Amino acid sequence: MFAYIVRKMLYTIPVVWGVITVVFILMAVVPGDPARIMAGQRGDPATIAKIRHDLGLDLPMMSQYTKFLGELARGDLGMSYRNNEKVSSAIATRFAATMRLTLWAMVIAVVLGITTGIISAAKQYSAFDYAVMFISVSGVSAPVFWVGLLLLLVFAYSLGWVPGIGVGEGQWIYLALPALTLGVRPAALLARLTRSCMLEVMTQDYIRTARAKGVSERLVIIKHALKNAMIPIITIIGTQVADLLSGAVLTESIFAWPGVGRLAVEALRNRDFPMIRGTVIVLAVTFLVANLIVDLSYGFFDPRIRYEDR
Amino acid sequence: MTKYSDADEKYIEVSDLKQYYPIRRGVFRRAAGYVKAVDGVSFNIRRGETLGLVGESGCGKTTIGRTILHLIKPTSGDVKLMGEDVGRLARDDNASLRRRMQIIFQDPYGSLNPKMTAQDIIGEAPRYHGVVSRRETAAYVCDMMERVGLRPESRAKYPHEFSGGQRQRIGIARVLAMKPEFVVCDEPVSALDVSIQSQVLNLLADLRDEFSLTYLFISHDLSVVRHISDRVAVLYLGRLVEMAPKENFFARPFHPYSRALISAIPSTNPDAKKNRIVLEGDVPSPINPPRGCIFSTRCPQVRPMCVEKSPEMTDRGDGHLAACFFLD
Repeated sequence: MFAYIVRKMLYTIPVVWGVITVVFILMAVVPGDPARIMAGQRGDPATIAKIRHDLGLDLPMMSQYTKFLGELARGDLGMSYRNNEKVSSAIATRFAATMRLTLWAMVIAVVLGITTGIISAAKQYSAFDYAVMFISVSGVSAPVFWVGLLLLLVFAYSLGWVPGIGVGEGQWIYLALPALTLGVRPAALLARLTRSCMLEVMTQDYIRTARAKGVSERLVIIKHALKNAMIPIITIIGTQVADLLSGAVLTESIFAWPGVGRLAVEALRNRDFPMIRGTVIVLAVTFLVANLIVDLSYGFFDPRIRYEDR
Repeated sequence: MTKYSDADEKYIEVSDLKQYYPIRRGVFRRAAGYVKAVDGVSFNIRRGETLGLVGESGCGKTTIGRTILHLIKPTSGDVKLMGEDVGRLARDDNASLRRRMQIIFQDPYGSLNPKMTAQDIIGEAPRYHGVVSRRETAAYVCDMMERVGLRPESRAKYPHEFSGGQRQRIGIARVLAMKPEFVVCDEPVSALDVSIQSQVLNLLADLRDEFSLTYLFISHDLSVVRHISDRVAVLYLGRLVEMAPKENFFARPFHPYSRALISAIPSTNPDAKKNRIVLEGDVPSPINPPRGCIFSTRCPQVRPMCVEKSPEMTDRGDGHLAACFFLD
C-alpha cells in the first residue's frame, strides 16, 4: 500500500513537468509584455529594457526555461513581477481559502447529490424522482458564473439573507453562496449518476438475494446496493475535483474570494509569469492528489481491487 | 398416501396461480398484451417431501418459485403456507416468513454480493432476524460452512475468490443458516460442472434429511429431478401438464409431452434401444398461447378436439394427475 502511494506520487512528476512546460510555452507565445505593463502607460523604452533585463526576460527562451526548471527543482517558485512578493508565500496564504471553498462545495455536492440520487432510484418514476431529474438537468446545464450571479442577485441583494461578496472576518455565512455556486453542478451530476448506478445495481441478482433474506428495504438499498454503486460515483467525484478547481477560479472572481483561483486570474491579467506558473502548478498538484485519494478509495469499495506492488 | 395428515398434505398450497407481465407499447405505455408466464397453476407440497418441477426454459418454473416466496407478487391466485396466505405474511410479518421459507438461486455468480465476505453473506440474515446473537454469529457461520463442506478458514474471503461449486455452497449455507422449513431450489446445479453437480445434489439431499426440510426443486434436467424428488410436476408454457410420484412418472408417463421429455434422457447403456420422440416445432409464444390444449401445436397424437377444448388435470389414481383427453 505504502509502495503504491509512493509510486503514484512519482508518476505525478512527469505530469507536473508537462503541465508547466505547456504553461511556459503559452506564456511565451501569447501577446502582452510584463515589462511594458509594469512600466505603465508612460514607461520609456529604456525603463522597459531595464525591467526586462532585471526579470531575465531578455535571455533566450531556452535559458529562461532551464533557469526556471532549476529554481523549481530547488522548490523555488520565484518572485512575483508585481510586488516582489514570493510566489510560494502568496499562494500559501491563499491556498487555505480555496481549499475551504472547494471542500465545502464538494460536501454539498456529495451529500445533496448522492442522497437525492438514492431516493430518486428507490422511488423511481415518483414525483420526487421527476423533480430531481428536472432540477438536475438544469443544474448540469447552468454555467458557474451565471449561477453565481443569480444567487448573488436573489439571496444577497433582493432577499438580503446572506452577505454579498468577500469573506468578512471568516464567518461561515460568507461561505454559503460561493460554496453553493460551486457545488450546484457536481451535485446535479452526482444526483443523476447515483440514480442511474443505483437503478442498475438494483436489478442485480444479489439484490434479489438480499430481499429473499428478508432484510429491510432500507438495508437492501444502503448496504447491498449503494456500496456496489459507489465505484463509478467515486470516479466521477474524482474528476469533479478538476471541475471544482476550474470553477473555483470563476467563483472566486465573482465573490471576491481571496483564493488561488482569483490570484491566478489577477496574475494572468498582469502577465505575472512566475505567479501564473506557481498557481497552475499548485492547482495541478492538488488535482493529482485528489485523484490519488480517489484511486485509494476504490480499494475500500471494491475488495477485488488490491494495491499490490507489481 | 395415508401417511400424511391433512395439514401435512397441504403444507404448501398453490391455487390457480397466475403471473402475467404486461407488454407496454406506444406513447402512453398502454398494455398491448400480456406474457402469460404462469397461467393457472395449482398444486400442493407435502411436509417433508421434495417436489421436482421440470420444464423447458421460459415455461415459468422460476416465476413459480419466486412467486411462492412472494419475491414477485402474483397477478392472481394465492399461495398458502400451512393455511396462511403468503402474500399477507409478506406484508405483515415478512421477517418470520423469510425465516420459514428460503430460496437457493440458480446463478452462484450473480446472486452473491461481490462486496461482502462469505461470513457476512451467510451471517447477515440470521443475525438480522435474531436467529443468533452477535457474539455467536462467527461460530455459527463456521458451523454452517462446515456443514456444507466449506473450510471455515475461508470465511473472510469474497465471492470472487471461490469456485462456482463453492459459491453455490455459500448460497446453500446462507439458506441453511436461517433454519428454514421450506426451501425453493431454483436450478441449484444447472450452472455447475457435471462433476460438481452430483456433489451439490447429494449435499442438498443430506441436508434435507438432517433438517427435515421440504423442497420445491426446480430443474430442466429430468435426471437431476429423478435423483432428488419424491414427486414430479411437469410444466409446459405456464401450465402443469402432469404431476405424479416419481416412480409412477418415470415408469408410466401419461402426457405426450412427458413421454417426449423422458425419451430424451440420455441412457448410460449404449445397447439400449432408443425410442426417442422428437417434438416438432418450437414452444409457442406465451403472449398468444394456443387455444384448446396448449400442447396441441406440437403433440404427436393431436386430435381435432384438442384444438377446441383445454383438458383439465385429472387424477388417474395413485395421485397421478395429467392434463390430456386421451390417456391410455
